[in-house]
Amino acid sequence: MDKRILYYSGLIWGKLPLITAVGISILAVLLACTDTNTPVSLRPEVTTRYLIWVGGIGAILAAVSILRPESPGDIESLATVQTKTSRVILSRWAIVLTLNVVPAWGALLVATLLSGRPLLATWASGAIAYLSAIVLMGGVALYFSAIGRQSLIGIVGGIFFLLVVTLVPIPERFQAINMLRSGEAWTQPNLWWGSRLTYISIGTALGWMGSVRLGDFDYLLTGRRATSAQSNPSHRTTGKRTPNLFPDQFFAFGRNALPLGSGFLANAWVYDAWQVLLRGAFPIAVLSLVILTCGLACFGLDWEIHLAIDAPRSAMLFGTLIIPLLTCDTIPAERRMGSDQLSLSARSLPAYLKDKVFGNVAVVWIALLIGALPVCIFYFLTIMMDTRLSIAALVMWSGITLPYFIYLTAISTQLGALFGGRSGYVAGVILAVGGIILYVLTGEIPLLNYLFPCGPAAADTLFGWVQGFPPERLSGPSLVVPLWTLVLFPLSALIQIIIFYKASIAILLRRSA
Amino acid sequence: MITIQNVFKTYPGGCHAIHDISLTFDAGVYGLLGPNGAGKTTLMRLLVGLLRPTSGKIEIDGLSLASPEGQEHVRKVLGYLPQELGLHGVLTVEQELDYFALLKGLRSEVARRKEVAYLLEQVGLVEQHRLRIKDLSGGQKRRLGIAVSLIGQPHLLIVDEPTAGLDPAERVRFRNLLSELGAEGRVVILSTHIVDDIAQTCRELIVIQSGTILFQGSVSILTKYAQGQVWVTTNADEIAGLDPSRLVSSCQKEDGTETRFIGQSTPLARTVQPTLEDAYLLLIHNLLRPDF
Repeated sequence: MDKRILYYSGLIWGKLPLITAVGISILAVLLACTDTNTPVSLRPEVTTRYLIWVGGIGAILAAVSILRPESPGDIESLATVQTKTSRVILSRWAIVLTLNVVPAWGALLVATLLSGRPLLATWASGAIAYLSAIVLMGGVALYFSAIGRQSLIGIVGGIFFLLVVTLVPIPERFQAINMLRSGEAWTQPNLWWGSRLTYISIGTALGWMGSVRLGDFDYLLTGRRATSAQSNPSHRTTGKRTPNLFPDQFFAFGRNALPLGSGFLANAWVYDAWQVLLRGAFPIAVLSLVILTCGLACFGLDWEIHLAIDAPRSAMLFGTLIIPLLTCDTIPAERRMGSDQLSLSARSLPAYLKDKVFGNVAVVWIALLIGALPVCIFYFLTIMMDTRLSIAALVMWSGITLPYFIYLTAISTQLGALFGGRSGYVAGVILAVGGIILYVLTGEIPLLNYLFPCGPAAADTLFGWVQGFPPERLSGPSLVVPLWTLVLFPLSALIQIIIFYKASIAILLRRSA
Repeated sequence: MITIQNVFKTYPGGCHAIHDISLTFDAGVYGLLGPNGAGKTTLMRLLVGLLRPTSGKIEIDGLSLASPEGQEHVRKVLGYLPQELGLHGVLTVEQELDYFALLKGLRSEVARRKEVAYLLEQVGLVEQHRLRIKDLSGGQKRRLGIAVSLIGQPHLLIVDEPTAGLDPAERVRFRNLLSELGAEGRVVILSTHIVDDIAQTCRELIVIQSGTILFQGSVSILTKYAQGQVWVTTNADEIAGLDPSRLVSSCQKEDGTETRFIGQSTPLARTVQPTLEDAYLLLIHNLLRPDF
């Protein structure tokens, strides 16, 4: 392929992988240098695990951005291209993969150097583990995006796949097949190398099948796979296209038929929430499912402790990755649709932003409720008498997880607004990567837990409190008693949301002046 | 030459966007007119190979679009300007043209540079060639889209709403460009709602409604059919009694509001020379004389 094409493709589709690359490099160095909970010799493996999470999200977003099936402009611009479309898509995918993988390998090299382990062997296992995971994630996302004819299906499908392979427990003797593991390359080499080869093969095959499907314009535009021209079709009266495919309906149901007359709902944010719910049933379902999976994926673990403390903690970790991606694009998407009249017809810019924030918050709250409720019910069915654990569960879900999700949603929506008409996904990736870095740092810096109220240290404190330890005996940062946490975390989140809201409004007003 | 034979296009769900259409396009500029949802964009997507017909045959220069050779051939000879532009905001105008020229198969850097300079001149974007696409105005983006469609001097040019968003001077300029291309022996198919663009540019006109062809022929023939069916009146009572679909325009004059309408006359109305717009409205409202 011509090197100029590679250069232009890098310019167009390289932004997301590069942001991811910067994020994972910072994360890798941070983990390698500051993670005092992990022995120095094990840090490369821990770093690889985190990098696969963050880099996997980046790979998913980058893969689906190379051709958005829902955008006729993207599809039609390829109508006159000489090269086979599937080849064009594969070459774009290769570029975004390279931009993702190569900097991550560099970051892993730094982490390995700092660990003092045998350089080549340790680095190679981490690098191969990362490469195989990224190829698999990208391939899955590309395939889902193509068959679902929606890039959002690719994003959500890819993230859900990442979640499943991360959370499904694997017996200790088969840990070598764990996608996140790199250390078993030397203890169980056959199984480890075999599984890496399998991941790369599956990822490549899915990516190839996805690119072939993306090259089938008839399928992308109509939803039916093009074979040969059919003879003697039964022709009825002519009319407009009404696609009735499952994904289209799923995303679009209610889009043209909101049963709301003006004045039916008094507050615009309720209308916004209603609209988000109708339009985004799929992402909401996924967020709920993620929370539910985090709650129930605890086979072999201590049920009670897991359901009360670990489940909300892992929900927060995955929420850090998913919520920014779901909410950052709310305002940019509206602008891209050309519906500036929506913001113009609002009472004022602050009111418009506030409505959007409240709308998204309401939706995320509903998703949390749907996901967490079965976990809580299951918890109460399992242990009803343990008062301390019940308080801990209450604090974790309502005092920490809920304010944190609201905080993330509000900040993400506003950050998306600051990005103007550009894709909010870029802001989403920045926030997701930044969120994971802060999440890791909260384990090291106690004060940061109040500034970024994501809760791992609070979870550790609660765990200690449940076990009956006095706070000073806890290994992690001591965070006062649970009831204090119940007040302090929401308060910190609220103050930050207000400050960020004021700052966003000031910037947006200055920009529009 | 493009030949379309008994083409049907049915979307999943059973809706028929194109219903038994047969057409032949030789060198020249052809206009495609029709109301929203008539099937114009579907027809153009079928012609460029983005969609495949449910039944029927499309041939370009004797090669069937269903065959791999035909698909390869159409990509070589085709220039296509879709309604929704798929431009890349981060590239500059010059880079975007260079990128599409590469994808189009122009490997020589010298040839590409020459082509890009020529196209920038053609669409009046010389001064903006270093601007990023995201910083262009809507009209400038449309002009860039036109330039992209002209890369490689295509033998077949299909343009969907090309002049939407252009200022009057640019519209005239683009219309002249299309006429020149048609006169050079290329096939140019222009789909638009701006009837004046077709009247000024096209040798032949195809009117399509609900996926079927209502009219195919020259602009002058269609206008001729409308003779004696276009009227003006200033009498308010007469206007009040007319079906709103028959009203073409209203204009304030010294002696009151002059209303132009189509169809049957009223006692005080006087006949006027029909335009293509009048004829088109008569056609789609099924009001043309029975001998049509």
